[in-house]
Amino acid sequence: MTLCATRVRLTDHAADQPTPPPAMGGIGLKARHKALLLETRPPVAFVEIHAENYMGAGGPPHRWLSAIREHYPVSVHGVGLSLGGATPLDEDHLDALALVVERTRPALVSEHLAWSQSDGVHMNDLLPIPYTPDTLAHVAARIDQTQDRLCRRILIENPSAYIRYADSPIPEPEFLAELVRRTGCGVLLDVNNLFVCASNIGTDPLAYLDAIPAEAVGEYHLAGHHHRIFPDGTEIRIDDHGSRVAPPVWALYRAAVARIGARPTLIEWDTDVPPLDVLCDEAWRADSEAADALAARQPGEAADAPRS
Amino acid sequence: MRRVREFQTRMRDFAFDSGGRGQLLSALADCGGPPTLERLSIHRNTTMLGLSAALGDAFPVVRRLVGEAFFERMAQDYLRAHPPRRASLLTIGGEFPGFLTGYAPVAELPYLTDVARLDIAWTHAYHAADAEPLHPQILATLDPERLGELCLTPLPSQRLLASAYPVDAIWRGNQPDAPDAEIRLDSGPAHLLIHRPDMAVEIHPVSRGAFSFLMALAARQPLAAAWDSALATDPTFDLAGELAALLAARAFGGYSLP
Repeated sequence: MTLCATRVRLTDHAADQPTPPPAMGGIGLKARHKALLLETRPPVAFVEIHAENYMGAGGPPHRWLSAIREHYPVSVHGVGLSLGGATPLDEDHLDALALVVERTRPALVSEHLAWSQSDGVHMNDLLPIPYTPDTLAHVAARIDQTQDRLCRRILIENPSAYIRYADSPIPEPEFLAELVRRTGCGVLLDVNNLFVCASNIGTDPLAYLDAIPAEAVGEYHLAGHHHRIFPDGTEIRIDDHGSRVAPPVWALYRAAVARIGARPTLIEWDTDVPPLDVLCDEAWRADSEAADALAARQPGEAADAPRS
Repeated sequence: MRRVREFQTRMRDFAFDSGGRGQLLSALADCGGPPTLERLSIHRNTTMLGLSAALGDAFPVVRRLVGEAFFERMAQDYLRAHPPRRASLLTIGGEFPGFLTGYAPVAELPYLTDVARLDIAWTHAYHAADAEPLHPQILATLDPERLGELCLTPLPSQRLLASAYPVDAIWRGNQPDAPDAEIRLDSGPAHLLIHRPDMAVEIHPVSRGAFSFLMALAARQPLAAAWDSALATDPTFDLAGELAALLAARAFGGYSLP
């Protein structure tokens, strides 16, 4: 495997980065849809894969992905690197991610502002971290390590949260903005996660959108969530990616597009996966919601262009 | 980072249901609404249910044999004893067959361990490196005087599996589209070659002699020594016929002559 010849400062090498997908709706690639997707080739802007599903040496998954790459830009989304983990980064996993990126040559690569591994045990969950000067330096170093290994810029996704730490003095959008400043990474703004956090732990979503550096946002995620109401009337929203995007999340998406601008927008649907046409329908709805948001914007209120 | 690390260790133990929650709660703020413990248990559910589902996807025939609900309980017991060490779940459950051997609730299904080994072998073959199989007529192109020195290398996808039970029949009979069929557990042992010559995984029942022959070849022994191994297992082993059948099944990925 090759390493970058020299440590790259990614902010200085924007021109070397691959072209991002069009700023329109894309879909997650599901095994059950792959044949129909190739046969019918619905006009979605891109497809996104979970890197961890392509970490085998060969076989049908790679064969399918090669065929799909002929027709769609591909985004590689990692769910297992544990950038927020306090124990050392799993370098075997980083090597495996680098191999997926090398084989796929994706238009976008993203990972999470979250932890999922502790002392070598993988939890298959993305948990938030407290936002402190210490964790900021720690995560920034791990993003540097990742970008150096992959030889490219990655986008970092805001997590969904059910808990809030007692000692977490830095607001999340400022934490992300500082990661962008220190490492040259971009932001994957998950609008459903932002809505879920607003409901569960009281984040102010519009203030959040104002605080995020618009030009660093390289992608949006949209998904459905489960709204659970307890007998005492209290409620929690669980980010299960198992249904259509909820109406208030569409409203927040319009607000995000109005402030930040249109970007490649992924419909995530990972449990109770529906037929392909339902996924595409959601992706096309994202296109029209984004168009509406841009049309409603006041003249002179142009958002910052994304840094590619 | 020390406090963060401690919290993450405790949270991990809580998620795998082996740790207390007191010190977790003291690190968290009250957000109103559902109590913090209820919030933490969402993470525990995500971990345990997500990993159980991944284990079930890796062992579809075991899951079908014991039923979804039983499998989920069994999976959680397994995951507590053997939490996954890799973020990619394609190969989850490496120790699952051994776990099943000692798992009392399935003691009445003694073939389950070998069915799990066959599920693993299938998954291994599915994700193994691609390789072009040797052409079945390859032997005709080689010097017949030197065939005894020939080393035949297996495909990267190859696994060999021997069982006292007819696990291939059990496995086929429990595929989603399989018709109902009666499987006799006393119908004798199975010797199986599992591999993927192209994009589809194949399971070939082979003779005991051929199994021993393939094991010797996989251990890089030349053809003459592998033939001796096969004859030691089965004195009636027919080299020409068995080798032609293995080549026709595209069992080999390459060869070398010293």
